[in-house]
Amino acid sequence: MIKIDKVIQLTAYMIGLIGFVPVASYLPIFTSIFILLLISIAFFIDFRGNKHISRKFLTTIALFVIGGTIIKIIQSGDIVIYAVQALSILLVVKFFEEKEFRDHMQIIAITLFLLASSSLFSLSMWFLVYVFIALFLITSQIVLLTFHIEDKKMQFEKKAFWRLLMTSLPMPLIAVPAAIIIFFILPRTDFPLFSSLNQQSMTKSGFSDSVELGSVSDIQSNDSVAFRVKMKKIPANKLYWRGILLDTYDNNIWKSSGDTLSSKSSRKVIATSKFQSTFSSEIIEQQIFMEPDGSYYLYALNTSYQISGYRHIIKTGNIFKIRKPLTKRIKYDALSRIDTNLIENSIDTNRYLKLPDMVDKIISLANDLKMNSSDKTAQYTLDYFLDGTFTYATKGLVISETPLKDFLFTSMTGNCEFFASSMAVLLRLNGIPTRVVGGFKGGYYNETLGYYKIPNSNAHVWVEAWIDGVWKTFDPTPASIQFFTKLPGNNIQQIMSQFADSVIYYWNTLIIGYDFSTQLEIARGIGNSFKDFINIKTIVILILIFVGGYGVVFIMNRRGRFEFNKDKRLIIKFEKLLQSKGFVRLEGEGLEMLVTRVTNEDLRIHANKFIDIFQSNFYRDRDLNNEDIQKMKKLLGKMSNCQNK
Amino acid sequence: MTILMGFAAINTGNNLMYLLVSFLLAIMGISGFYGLKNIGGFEFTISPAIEIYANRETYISVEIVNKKKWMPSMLLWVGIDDNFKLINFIRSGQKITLKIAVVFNSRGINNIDQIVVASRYPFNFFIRKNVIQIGKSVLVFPEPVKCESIKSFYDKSRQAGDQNASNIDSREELSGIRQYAEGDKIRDIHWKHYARSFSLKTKEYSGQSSKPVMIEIDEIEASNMEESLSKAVYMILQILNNGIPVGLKLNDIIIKPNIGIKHKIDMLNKLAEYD
Repeated sequence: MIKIDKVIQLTAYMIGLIGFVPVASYLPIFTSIFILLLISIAFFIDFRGNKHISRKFLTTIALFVIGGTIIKIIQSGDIVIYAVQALSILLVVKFFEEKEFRDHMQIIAITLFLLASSSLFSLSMWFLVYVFIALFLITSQIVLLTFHIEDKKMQFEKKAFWRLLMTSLPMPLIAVPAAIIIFFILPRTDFPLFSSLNQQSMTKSGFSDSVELGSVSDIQSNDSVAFRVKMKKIPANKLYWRGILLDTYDNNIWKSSGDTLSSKSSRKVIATSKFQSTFSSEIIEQQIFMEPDGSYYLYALNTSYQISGYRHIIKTGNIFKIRKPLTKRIKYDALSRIDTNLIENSIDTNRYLKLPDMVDKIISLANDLKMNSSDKTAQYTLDYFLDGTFTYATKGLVISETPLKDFLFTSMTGNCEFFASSMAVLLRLNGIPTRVVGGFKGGYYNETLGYYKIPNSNAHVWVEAWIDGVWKTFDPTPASIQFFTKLPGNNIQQIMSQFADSVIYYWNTLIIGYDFSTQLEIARGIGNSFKDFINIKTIVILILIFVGGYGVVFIMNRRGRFEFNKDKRLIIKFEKLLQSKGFVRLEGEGLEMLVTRVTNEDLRIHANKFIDIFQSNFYRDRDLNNEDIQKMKKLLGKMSNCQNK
Repeated sequence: MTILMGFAAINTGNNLMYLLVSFLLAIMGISGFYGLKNIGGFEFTISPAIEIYANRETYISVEIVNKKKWMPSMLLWVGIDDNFKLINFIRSGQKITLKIAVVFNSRGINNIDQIVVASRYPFNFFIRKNVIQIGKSVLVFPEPVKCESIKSFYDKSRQAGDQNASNIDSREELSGIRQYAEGDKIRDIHWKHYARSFSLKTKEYSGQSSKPVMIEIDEIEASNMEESLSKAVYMILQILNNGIPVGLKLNDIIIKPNIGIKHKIDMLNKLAEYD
């Protein structure tokens, strides 16, 4: 036999844990361990049947915890972490109490609050798993508690217990479709009051305003996803994602001085830079889902000319900067033209030529690479790095006070920023205005869902040189494009990794990325399709269909033919028949009463038989069977044959 | 709490919180649906006891069939006139018979108008009720009230039939057996027959009783008619219990003395219906 109170006790602990586990890792480790230890002790006390600690004492502790939390929040201003800590302690207090119905409900409430708070720390898909387990446990628990209220000592045979659970457990599953609909229609706002409470940990993986030689390899060592781009597939060698522009080189560090072209922080600002008009290159539309990387830059396919859907400032060189470091997942749209170079008729050449003092060896190399035109010099310098003497590596990079010199003449091995820096320096030494562009290269295309996944390990820098009024792109890094576009591992691993990413992609795009603007878009979409649909002709047709339909329904209803319920249809016929014999059923009059007024005896006998059959079924909440219906129909026939008297 | 979380979701713009709120709302909706389904879809058959006396507790047998195609029902309180019985679990298609104790306060036709099915299931947030109209009539006999003058009726019958009152319980020979009826004496039960067939039969004796007793309502000492009827019921039950034929004279109605369950019910019916 299964004792219901024991099951309730056990489930309460499972519920509490499913609420605490998701937040445990965000609390100080000792706090988490301490709380788990206390929960274990409470569990032990409960199941040993030991005496519970007095409620008054525990309530006092709870009050102290709440008071302390308020003071801590006021002192530190960090609401979330202290609130979560307090909730966890309150959960422990509840476990130590002798638990009545309301205590169990309080445990459930605390668990739900803890689960909700966990979403302020992480937007991972694990949340859904926790929510599902919690909902299964909570629905079962409340059902069990409902039984417990009726009989505290209730016991079940195993089979009966499973039957009970099997009826109640599907509730969360049945709720899924409704929950999805509710999720999408619940009102969103563009300006949440307490969005600062969201403190999802983000990996500071992106580019910052300055890039030190060797620092990009830090970004490259991170396998996490930088962003995903929904767009059509394009040739792999065109996959350069533009993010930051570095124009000042000093002390082995590239920096961005970045003047603002448009400080208008509107949602839609078109870059003022012009494109080389001779190219009729295709416009590539992208929808970008960016992970929070703590950086200030929005990425888009090189060369992007418009970004919309997220507030930004446009900087020189089609760079889209945001005001605050990115701490949440965002979605924006971008328009780019590949195979296109930016045109700038006049530039501040000093800025793009400025260099710190260079060692003679580098200056002489620059001289060796100088040709009779800027174009040729640039091409020759590019070839110098790509001719096979240099090798690409992301590990074991030069660490010295003169990294550029050591790279160029000693190790000849480096990652993209060594190549780009070297080329930029050599071009500047030869009087060609040059800058370094930071972003990403390549990406892994998901053919099924049509999006590129760009991991941080694909971080890349390349060079832009201003030649004949145009910023031309050069990538001196001798790494094969395969390196940036082919997933590691065998086929199965690749498929698995793509599948896993597809799930995350859906999660991010459909759930996490769903916001007021998407809601508005959908509403507008529905509105527009409605507008397209509505014109005078359709309105007239709709009115005609409505009026016609209503008329048919009205007439059928009057004749009692529209009643699909067999019982009611028969009763309507019965009433009509008596009406034709001159006995109109009065308002509120029962059938029996109506029949008592019938003067013709035969008619009354048949009518009474009819009512008997009807009522014997009706009062038993039973539908009429065929036999009864036939009998009733016969009686109606007999009634209609009776003479009017 | 869901509202509080909804507020938190809107003000943090956190979609996971929205997700949690959506699930809570959906489950609340589904629980409403479960709750409604739980208390509906039954077929009831009511069978009252044959003898129901006013102001005496009687059991009404309520047979419930769960007609729902797949869903069982749980924690059902089934009641007649505020007298409820709990059914923990009834499977789809299962039939359960409950005996619900009811007291009718007046003799004559009483109506059991409705059966109430109530439940807290699935969540103990509120109790849902389903009232099923049944419109069942039962005839309630007058409450038996002890009558001191019963002896005078025996005496009267003795005078009439020259029968010794002390012999009222005498019997002659076994004349037959019949189906056991409520109120039959234990000693009249045919135990041998029961041992063979496990069905209760009552032995009947020829000339079992003493001379028949005729109860005349007008002659019962009582302050009002209701009391007379109640006392008459008491006497009928007592005398028949002693195996003596009893008859009834109620104004113009005369029922000749006899024994047997049908005869008893006939007399009690007349007393119940007396207007």
